[in-house]
Amino acid sequence: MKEIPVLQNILRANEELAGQVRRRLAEAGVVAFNLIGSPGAGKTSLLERTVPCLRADLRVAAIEADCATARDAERVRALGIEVLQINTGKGCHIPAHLVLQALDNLALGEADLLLIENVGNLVCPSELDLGETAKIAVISVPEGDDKPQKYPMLFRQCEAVVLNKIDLISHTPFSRERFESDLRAVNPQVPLFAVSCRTGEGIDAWAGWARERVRAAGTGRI
Amino acid sequence: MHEYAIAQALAEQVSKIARERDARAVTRVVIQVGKLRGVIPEILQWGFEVVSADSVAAGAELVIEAVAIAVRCQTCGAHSELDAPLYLCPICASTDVVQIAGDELILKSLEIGDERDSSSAEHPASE
Repeated sequence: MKEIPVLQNILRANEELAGQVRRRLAEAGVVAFNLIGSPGAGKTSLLERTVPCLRADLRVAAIEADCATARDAERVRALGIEVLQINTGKGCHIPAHLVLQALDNLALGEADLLLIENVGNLVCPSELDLGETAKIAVISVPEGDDKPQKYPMLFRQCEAVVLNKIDLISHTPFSRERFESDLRAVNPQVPLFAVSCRTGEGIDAWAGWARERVRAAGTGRI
Repeated sequence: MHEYAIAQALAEQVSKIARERDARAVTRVVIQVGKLRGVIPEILQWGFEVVSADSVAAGAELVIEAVAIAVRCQTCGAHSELDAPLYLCPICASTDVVQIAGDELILKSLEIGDERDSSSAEHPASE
């Protein structure tokens, strides 16, 4: 028997591939957001609302990931942007190698912002770096106000939180005060955008942040 | 079930190192897992057992060392461990804290048996 010290990150293989994604995006001058949220939180609806707000300033492309179907890609393609669908089968998240493959099939030179909609799940997508510029948490009122404490990895890492379905708040026991104080305990500074993808409330503020984040990345496109 | 994805990555990593060392069997795997990872040890144990069943690490003991969430306070300088991911200094209540531990996911060491050539242990194959 022999003890071998190793001290390697267990997710190292994924991180190396995420590094390749990051380099490809940097070379092409593309900023990427990784949208993470539960199934039904409204990630696709948020894309549908956001793309028209950004279109005047930015060329947007999207990667849609789901276990099955191309329904989300069809919805987003209807906005007139380039979309690639990834189906993960039983996979509950996208690993970096699937994003790397997807980049081969996207015209990166014709995009300024790549929106990656991860598989609906609050846990596994937070574990895996995809080489994105920023992770965005998308959460919705009916899911409950206790999510920041239950899923701290996501809420600690993300650069912005979008709270969707704010129009339903009076129909649920959701406490916005409790949600915000729990969120602040996990991530004191993160910007929070309360929106309704149904009514359009709050979308301008979120889209404004997204535009500024692209500008701050310094790719020189806007 | 993110434990299964972690188990899979771990099993691949262990097999790769064992191959480089020309080891016939891995008997023990020691990992460090930060509390923030939300890993349930029993599920990770089971997942590792399943995914490594046909590999060089079949039947290996998986030792999971838990690492507490720890922060350094930028206001008072104290180092503290946190019971929950509430980023507040327990000493001075400042929210200006930097996380210094708690998100680890590290393969710390392996115990291998039956190396074919003992000299390879001194000169591990480069990657």
